[in-house]
Amino acid sequence: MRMFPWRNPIRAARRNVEAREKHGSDTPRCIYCLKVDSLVVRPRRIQYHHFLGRERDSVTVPLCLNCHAGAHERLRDADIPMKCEKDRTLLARSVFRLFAVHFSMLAEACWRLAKKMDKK
Amino acid sequence: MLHDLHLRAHVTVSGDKSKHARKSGGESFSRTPTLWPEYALLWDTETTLGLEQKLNFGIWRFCKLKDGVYVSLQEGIFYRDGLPHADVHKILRYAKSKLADGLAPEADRELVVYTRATFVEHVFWEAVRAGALIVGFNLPFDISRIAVRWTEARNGGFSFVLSNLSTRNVENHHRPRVRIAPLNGVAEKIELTAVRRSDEQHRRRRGRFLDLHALAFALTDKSYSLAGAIEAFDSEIKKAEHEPTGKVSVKEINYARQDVRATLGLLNALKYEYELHPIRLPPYRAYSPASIGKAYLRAMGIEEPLAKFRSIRPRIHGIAMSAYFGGRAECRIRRWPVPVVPVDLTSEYPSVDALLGIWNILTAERLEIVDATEEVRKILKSVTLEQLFEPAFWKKLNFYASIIPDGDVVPVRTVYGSNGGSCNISLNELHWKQKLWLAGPDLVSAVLNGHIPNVRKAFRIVPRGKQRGLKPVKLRGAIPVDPRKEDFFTLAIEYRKQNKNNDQLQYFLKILANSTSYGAYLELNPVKVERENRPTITIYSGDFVKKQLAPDIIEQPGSFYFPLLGALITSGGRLLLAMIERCVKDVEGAYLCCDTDALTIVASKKGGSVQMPDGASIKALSWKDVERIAQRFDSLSPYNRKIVPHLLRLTDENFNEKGIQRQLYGLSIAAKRYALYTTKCGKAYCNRSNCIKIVDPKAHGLIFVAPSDDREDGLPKWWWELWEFLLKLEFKQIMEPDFNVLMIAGKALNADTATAIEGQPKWISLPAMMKMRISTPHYLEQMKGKVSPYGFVLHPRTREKAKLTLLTPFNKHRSMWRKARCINTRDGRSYQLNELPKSDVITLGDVLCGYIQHPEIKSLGPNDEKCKPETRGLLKRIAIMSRLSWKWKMASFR
Repeated sequence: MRMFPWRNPIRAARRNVEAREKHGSDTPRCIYCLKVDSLVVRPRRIQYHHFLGRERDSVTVPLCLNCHAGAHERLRDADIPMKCEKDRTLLARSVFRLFAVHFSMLAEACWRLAKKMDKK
Repeated sequence: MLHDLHLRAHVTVSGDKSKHARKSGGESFSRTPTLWPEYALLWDTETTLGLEQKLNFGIWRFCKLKDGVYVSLQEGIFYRDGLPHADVHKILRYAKSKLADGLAPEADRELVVYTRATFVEHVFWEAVRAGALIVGFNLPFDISRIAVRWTEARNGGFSFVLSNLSTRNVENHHRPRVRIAPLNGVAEKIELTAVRRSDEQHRRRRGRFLDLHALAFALTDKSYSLAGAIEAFDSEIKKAEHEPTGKVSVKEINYARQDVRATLGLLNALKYEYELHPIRLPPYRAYSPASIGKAYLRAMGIEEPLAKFRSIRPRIHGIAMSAYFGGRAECRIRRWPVPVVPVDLTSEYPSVDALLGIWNILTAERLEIVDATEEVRKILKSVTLEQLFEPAFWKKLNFYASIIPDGDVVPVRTVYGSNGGSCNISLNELHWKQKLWLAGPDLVSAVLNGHIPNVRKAFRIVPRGKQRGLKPVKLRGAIPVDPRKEDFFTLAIEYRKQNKNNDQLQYFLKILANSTSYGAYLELNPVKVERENRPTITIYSGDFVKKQLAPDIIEQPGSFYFPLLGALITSGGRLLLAMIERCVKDVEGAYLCCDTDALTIVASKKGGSVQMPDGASIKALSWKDVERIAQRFDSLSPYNRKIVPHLLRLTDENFNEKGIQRQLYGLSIAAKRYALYTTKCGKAYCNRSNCIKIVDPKAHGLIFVAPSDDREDGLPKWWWELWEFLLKLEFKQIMEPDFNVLMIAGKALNADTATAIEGQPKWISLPAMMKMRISTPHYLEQMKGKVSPYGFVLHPRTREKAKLTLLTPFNKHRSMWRKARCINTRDGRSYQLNELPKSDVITLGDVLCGYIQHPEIKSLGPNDEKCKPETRGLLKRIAIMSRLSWKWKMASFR
C-alpha cells in the first residue's frame, strides 16, 4: 500500500537539486546571523537580498527572513530609495550608502560572533 | 592502365568558432561535480510486433546513489495513450495486486501507474530537471517509443517531440526535444535541444542520457545484447527467459519488470568497471574505447595537439592527409590452395608508435618542421633491410617527402574496377608526372621493393622540450604510467598480454591502444551544413590549396586530430609488412595474402615447391625459415621480452590443442576473403568428405543475417559451413576442370548434369536477409515511412529487375523467413516472400556463388590481364599510369 501518497521521490529529488543549484550548497546560511536553512521546509527561510538594490545590480547575498527585513529597515533609515537613480551623482551617493549599510551589518555580525566566542 | 589518383585532404572552415566555443552551450566536464549523478531513471518499453513497433507499456525505476550503488526509490508502469481499455484494466489490476520490489527500505512500495503523457511530464522531465541519469539498454529505441512525433535534426539524426500541449495535438514548446544522432554504429549522441521559451527552467541542460549498450561497448569493444552484457559483466540479476508476444499480459509485465531489474544490476556492474579507470569522462559521453583512450590522454594532462602545436600550418596537415592511407590488404595467390604459415605483428600500431617515437612528439612542448631534403635523399640511397632491424634507425623515419613516382611501389588509392565502383588502396607501381607527398616509411618500403624514389623536397618533424603539466595515472587502477618517461600504449599492450585469460579486458586494451595510438589522430566526424548558411572552406592536399563553399556534409576534426602523426603510423605499419615480405622474397618465398598486420606465408614443414595452375612453381618455405624470419623482428620489439616475447609471431591457428605446430593450408579469393584449414590426407586439396577441417574462416562482406544463432569458436557457424562448401566446390573444380556450378532455385547444381551437389548447407535456399536498424531519417525516408525510428527490420534482397524494396518485421525464427509477409516500399503493396517468383529472391546460395567469384581487382592475373572472377594462381602488381589530373578525396566529401 502507498503509505504516504503525498510523497513523490522524483519531485523531491528535483526540488533538492534545484535548491542546491540555486543556493550553491545543501545548507545555505544567512551571512549576518549564520542561521542555516536545511532546504527541506517551505517556504524557504533563506532569501536572496540585492544589497545594492534590484534595479542597480544583480549581486545578492543569502539572508534569513529576520535579517532581510532588518536590512530593508536600515535602508529606509539611511534614506536609500529602491528605485535606481537616473542622476549619476545621486546613484553614487546611494551606492556608497548601500555599501555602508551592508558593511556595518556585516561588522555587527562579526562583533556578535566575537562576543559569543568570548562567553565560551 | 590510366587511373585517377584519389588523395585525402585537410580542410579548414573559415570563421570556424571551433568546437570549444560550441561546448560552452552544453555541460562542461570540468565543472561536473561527480561523474555519476545522484539520481537515475531506468526504463524499458514493450511494443507491438509489427513494423511500426508501437508502444504497449513501459516499466521505470527511479534510483538514488547510496554507498556507490544505485538503489530504487520508486517503481512504476506507464502505458500508451489510447491503449485499449481492456489492456489498461489489465495493467491497473496488475498494479493493485503487486508491490514494487527491490526498493530502498524507506521507499513507498506502491506500483505507480501513469499514462505515457503523465509519465513524460511527471517522471521523465522531473528526472531530467533533477539532473538524473536517464538510463536504458538501447535507449534511442525506448525514447522513440514515447515520442509523439519526430523531425529530422540539423545534425542528420532524429529530433523527438515528447510532449504535446494537454488539450491539443500541438507541440509543447516549454519542453525541449530529444535529439539523437548516430555516432559509430553502436552508440548515439543523445541530448536535449534548446527550448524556445527563455523562461523554461532547464534551458541550459543537455540531459544525461546513458545507453548501457554503448557503455558496455566502450568498455569492451563488443556489441552485447542485454543478456550477453549481464553475463559478461557478472551482474547478479539475470534477464527472464521469455519470447515477447507484443500483447499486454501479466507474463509480459513480469518480463518487462525483470528486464528493468536486470538493467539496474547491469548499471551497477558497469559503474564498478568504469570507476576502475582514473578518468574524468562522464559515462554518458563514453561512446567507444577511443573515448576512454582520449580521456586517459586528458587525465595525463596531454593537451590537444592541434591547439598545442598551433605553429604547424594547415598546408603541412594537408601534406600529411594526402600521404595518409589505411592498412594494406591484398590477395596474392587466388583460388589456389597452398600450404601456409600465417604470421602477425603484435599490436602493430602501438609498436610503430613506439618505434617512430610518436609519444615524444605528442608530449613535446612544441614541434619544429625542419627541411631535410638532402638527408632524406641520403637515407633512401643507403637504406638496407639490416638497418631497418635497428630500433634507432626508425627514429629517423618521421619525415614526409614529395617524389615524382616513376615505377615506385607506393600505396595507390584509386578506382580499380573498369566499371567504376568504390576506391581501393593497394601497393602498386605508380607512374605520374606530378609531385606526390608520402610519409617516410612508405618511401623506405618503395626502396625495399627495388626502386629508389626521386625525392624533390622533404621535411622532418622535430619535437622540442616536454609539455608542462603531464601527470602520472594508473591504467585501470593497476598499472602506473608516467607520461614524462613512459609510452602509455606500450604499457597498455604489456598489461593486455599479462591478462591473456581475461578475454574482455585484453580485447578492450587492444582496441584502446590501437584506436588511441592511431585512430584518434585521424578522427573526423561528419557534420551537416545548413544550406542557407554555408561557410567557405579551404582544402589542403599535398601542394594543392583551394577555397570553395562547403558541401552538404563536412567532417569536423576530433579532439586529438593530428594527421602528421596518424599518417606516419599507418605508413610505419605498411613498412613492417613490407619488411616481412622482403624477408620472404629474399629466400625466394611467396605469400598467400596479407592484411594490415598479418602475412600468410606459403610454407610447409620441410619446404619444397608448390605447383601453380599455369604450370609454374613457387617455393614453399620451411617452418624453420619462417621462424628465422620471425626471430629477426625481435630486435624491434619495444616491449618487455618477458611479457611479450616476440614482435612477429606465428598466429595461434598454427598450433593444435596440445600446442604442437600443424600444417595449415589456405585458399584466398580476394583481400580479407580467405580460409585456413587442415587436411587429414596431408594434401592441399582433397575431395573426400570429412578430410578438411576449417581452422579460420574469414567472411568479409557477408552482411546478411546468419541463418542460425549457433556459433563456433566465437564466429557464426554458417561461416564455417559456407567455407566448407566453398572449398568443396573449389577442389572439385580444380580436380575436374570441366565441372561448373549453377545456382538455381536456391540449390547448387552441377551445370552439366543438373543434379544437386552433395553436402550443400541446409540454409542454402534461405532468402538473404539484411538486418537493419533505422538509425537515421535518411533510412526512414528510403522506407517510405513504413517503419518507425530505431526499429529493427529485415530487408530480403531481391534482383534489380524485380523492382522491389521489401521490408518485414524482424523475426529470429529462420524457418518463418520464406513465408514472411513483406511490404514493398516502392508501391506500398504487401507480398508474401514464397509467392514471389523464385528467381527474383536472392538466396544465401546466390550469395555463396557470388562470394567465390569476387575478383581481386587491385591485381593482375598470371596472364598479365586484369583479375577476373575465374582467375586462378599467382597475381601480379598493376602498373598504374596516372592521368595528369588527379582527384582529391577530401575528408569533407564522403
